Formats: sequence, structure tokens, C-alpha cells
Amino acid sequence: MPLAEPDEKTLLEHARRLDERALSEIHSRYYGEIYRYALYRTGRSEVADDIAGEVFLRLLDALHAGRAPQTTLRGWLFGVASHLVADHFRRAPRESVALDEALAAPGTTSAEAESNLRAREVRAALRRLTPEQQHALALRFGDGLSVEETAQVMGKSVNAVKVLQFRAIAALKRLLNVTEMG
Amino acid sequence: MNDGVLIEALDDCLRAMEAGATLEAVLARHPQLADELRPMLTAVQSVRPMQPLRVPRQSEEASHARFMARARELRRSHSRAARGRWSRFSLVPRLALAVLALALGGFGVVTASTNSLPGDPLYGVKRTVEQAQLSLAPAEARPALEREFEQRRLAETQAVLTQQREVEVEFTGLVQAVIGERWQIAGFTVQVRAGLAGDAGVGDTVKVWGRTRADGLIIAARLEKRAEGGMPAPTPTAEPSATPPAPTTQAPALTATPQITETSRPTAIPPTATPTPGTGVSPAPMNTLPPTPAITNTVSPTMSPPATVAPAPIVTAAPTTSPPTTVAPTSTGDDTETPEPEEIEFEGVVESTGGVWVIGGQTVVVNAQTEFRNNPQTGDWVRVKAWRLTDGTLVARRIEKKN
Repeated sequence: MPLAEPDEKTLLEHARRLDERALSEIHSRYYGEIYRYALYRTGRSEVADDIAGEVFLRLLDALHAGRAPQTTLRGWLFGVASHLVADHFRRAPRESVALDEALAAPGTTSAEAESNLRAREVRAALRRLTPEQQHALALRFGDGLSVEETAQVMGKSVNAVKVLQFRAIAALKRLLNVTEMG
Repeated sequence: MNDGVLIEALDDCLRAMEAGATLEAVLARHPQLADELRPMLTAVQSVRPMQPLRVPRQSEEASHARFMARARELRRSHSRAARGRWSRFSLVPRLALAVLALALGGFGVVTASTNSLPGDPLYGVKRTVEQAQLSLAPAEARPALEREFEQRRLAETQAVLTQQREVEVEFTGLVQAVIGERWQIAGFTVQVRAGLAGDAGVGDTVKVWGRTRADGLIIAARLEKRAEGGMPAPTPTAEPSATPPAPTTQAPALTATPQITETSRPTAIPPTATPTPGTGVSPAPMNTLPPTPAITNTVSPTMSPPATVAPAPIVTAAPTTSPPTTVAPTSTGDDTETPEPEEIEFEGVVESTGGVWVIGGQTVVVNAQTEFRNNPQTGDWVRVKAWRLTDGTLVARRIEKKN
């Protein structure tokens, strides 16, 4: 029997009662996005795995304690993921520049090495952006969210996200020393 | 240059590139800003993954298993807390109950009614007290109380069937199978006449009002589809999400992962399904779904090896103490040969256990013949050897925990 897709508000309402089907639906709907977000930010699949799993366990704790997200569940999940990424970097500040699985392209050995080197530079540059800029770029490019979706997740206006995106990219351009000629 | 113009131009370029346009093509849309846009878009190219980021199915399944296991733990502690709150409930409702109890003829009557069954003289007292408890309970304690009463109705129905009594019963449970007018609901065989059930079907949670018969059948007088676990009943048209998900078509791992939902639960023909061991009532095998844990915890279907499970046509739900082979079609010459079950192997994470396991999104029936190696538990990665019956049911031969 096909299941109608309940909207986020309905899901949240049932999730507050720890309804099994609602929780399962929430996990299947958002796990991929949260995993990709964490992978984009950290560059390591095992860290992304830990962070994504932890985000959902924290959701359960919040629901159980009556601190369930009130407005946007998706935004809440990304927010927790963002905090966990920050915690990860606080614990292991230099760890994630060693290997990058999110940005490196497959290729020959030398191409791979070159690619890894470039990816390391890019990741270092990303880490120097403000936390909000990093969050926005991860949503836009790691998860492929539109500006409108990013605005909804971040609780900002579309124009504010456009400005944030512009400033993040401009900063990135400077940090990567991309010339006018590209 | 005005930043506002550049911000809009950059956004326009990014949208066009996301739609598949090349760098040169998008720059051509803004020739006067091309020199400023080019390095920015080049920077974007370096931070945009070469391919959509892949979500490993194993990660998602393991997380799902942990998540659901933790949810079950919390639900249990929630129920205990609710019961605790009830027991420490404030004086006013307690006094109200006491008054009610006295009005009903004293504490002795209420106590005596506790173990009464449908048809007993004191059964009405028991239900009245329950109603009073429900109406006086604080809102947060009500769901747990309702679940408790639903469990009581199931136990009572089982008890009167065991005693071969013919009385009015009501209970709520999952529709596990439908064959003609014979329905398997919460482990009971129920006769549901055509048109009584509306659009309810296999996988739905329903409330049944009916009458038990000495032969173990329940004749439904009324049947109502319920929202399972409080979820709204599925509707044919999906309501648009308030926050539409990101374009996940590029992430097949997310959308292709089977979930434990009605849509992926196979209808199954377990070898035998007895409502409760020792009752002497063994409904014939039917197309079934695993029982809903919240309601049918007390129901533990027993299974025979699949070799004995020839898909028997259900012509009667009269109780039988014989194994299902006795009702399997014998070779009469005009019947087609019973297909052999196929043996398969697969690996996955154990998402839930019980009479029916969910492993890697697949529902697997276990029985007394299933061999368990290395004590597999929820969350473990296991290798499964199973028979796939002709209807798709998987019956586990062996479940082995892998390192």
C-alpha cells in the first residue's frame, strides 16, 4: 500500500510521541542530506558517518526531553550537524586536511596526488571562512540545495543567503588566489 | 560596480551552471561583469564536488537500526514514566476514581472485575473503570494507557477463544492477511463480510467489533480502519512537503534504500501462525504481515520449516491441530506442481528481531529451525541464508553475525 508522504509538521507532531513510523520516515528522508553535509564539511566518510548518526540520536533525545524542534525539522537537523562538525574540528583541528574524499577526483596516481593536494588547499580555504559561510556553502554545494532551500534551512531570507553566498565565494576566491583569468 | 548587481549576476550564473550550463555560456549572459564573475565561478568549481556525494547504504542502514533501537528504548522508558506519573497521580482524580468505585458497588467489585472477560457479569465494571481512568488521566499519560487497554482487549479475546466461548469482543490490530472473507488480524482469524471493511486492507491497523465462535473464528460485525500508531491513514495523494527535499535524484543511495514501511513489507506465507502457543487454535496459513509490535507483543507466531509450507488454499478457518501439510493440495492430477522454495544468501544490518527479523530492509521469518551463529543482535552486520518462498517470503535457514 503506497504511503502518502506526510509533511514536516505532521512528521514532527507524531515524532514528538516517538511514533515509530514517523521516526523511520524522518531518518530515511534526511539521513542522506545530513551525511553529505558532514562529508562535505569534514572530507572523511567515517567522520560523516559518526556525525550523521549522532544527529539523529540527538533528535531522539530532544524529542524525549520535550525540546523538539518547533519550526523546521530539516533546519534543526542541519544546525545540529553544523555544531557537531565544529566540535569535531575543535577536537581534531588538523585531522581533516590529510585526506579528502569529498572533493578529490578519481584519476591516475599522479593525477590523484595532484588532485589531493589541490583538495587539501581548497579544504584549508573553506575552513578559513566564517562558520556561517561554511554552513551556507556546504548546503549549496555539498547537498545541492537551492538558494531558497538554503534560506529555509538557515532561517534567513533569500536575499540574505544570496549576499552570504556572494561573500563566501569572494573570500574563497581571495584565499585560493584565483586570478581574474581563472 | 554595485555589489547588488554582482550578487544577482553571480546567483544567476550559479543557477544556470546548476542547470548544466558551461562557465563560458553563463559568462556570456553577463558580458560586462565577466571579468569579475569568472574568478568567482572558478572558485566555485573548485569547491563543488566532482560528483554528487555518495551515501553508503551500510551507513544509512546501521544508523537507522541504532536510531530505531534507541527510539524503542525511549518509548519504553516513556511508558514507565507515564505509569509512574499515573501511580503518583494527584489526589483529586484519585478521589474521583474512589468515588466512582464506591458508586459502582465498592472496591471489592472493582477489584473483582479486573480479571473479568467479555461476557462476564463484571466485565462492564472493568470497562467503565477504564473509561474513567482515561478521562481522568493527564493528556501525556493517555496514549500509554490506551495502549495498555488495547493489549488487554487482545489478551481478553485470546482468552475467550481459548475457552471456546461465544461472546462479543473488540480489539485493535494489524491486518496481516486477507483471503476472501477470511482476514488475519493481530493473529486472529476474522470473518469479514464483503463491504464491511471499506478501504482497509493488509498492512492497515483496524479496530474490530465482533463475536467469537467456539471453533476459533471471530465474526466481525464492524471494522474500522485506524491510524497506526497515531499516524494518519495513508491517502492516495501525497501532500506537498512544507520544505521540499533537496534534489536527491543524484543520490540513489538515499532513495533506493528499502525502509521498514508498509510499502516494502512483503506479504508472506509463514508456515503456521498460531495466535498464542498452547491455545490449540491454529489458523491455517495465510498471506501475512509481521505483527505490529506495539499491539501484538504477546503474539508470537511459531513457524515450521518452509519445506512443509505448500501454499494451501484457504477454504476454511476452522481450527486445526495438524500441521499445514494436511491442508496442502495433494497431487490430484489436475493441480500444478507445488513450486520449490529457492535458497538465497544476502548480507545486511539487523534492524529488528523477534518472530520476524528485518535485515537490510528485508523481512525475514525465523523459526525453530533457524540456525543463529555468533549471537546476532540488532545493529549487527549479518549474512543470511534463507529460503525464498514462491510469494517472496524469506524464511531464514541461518543468520550469522559477521565481524
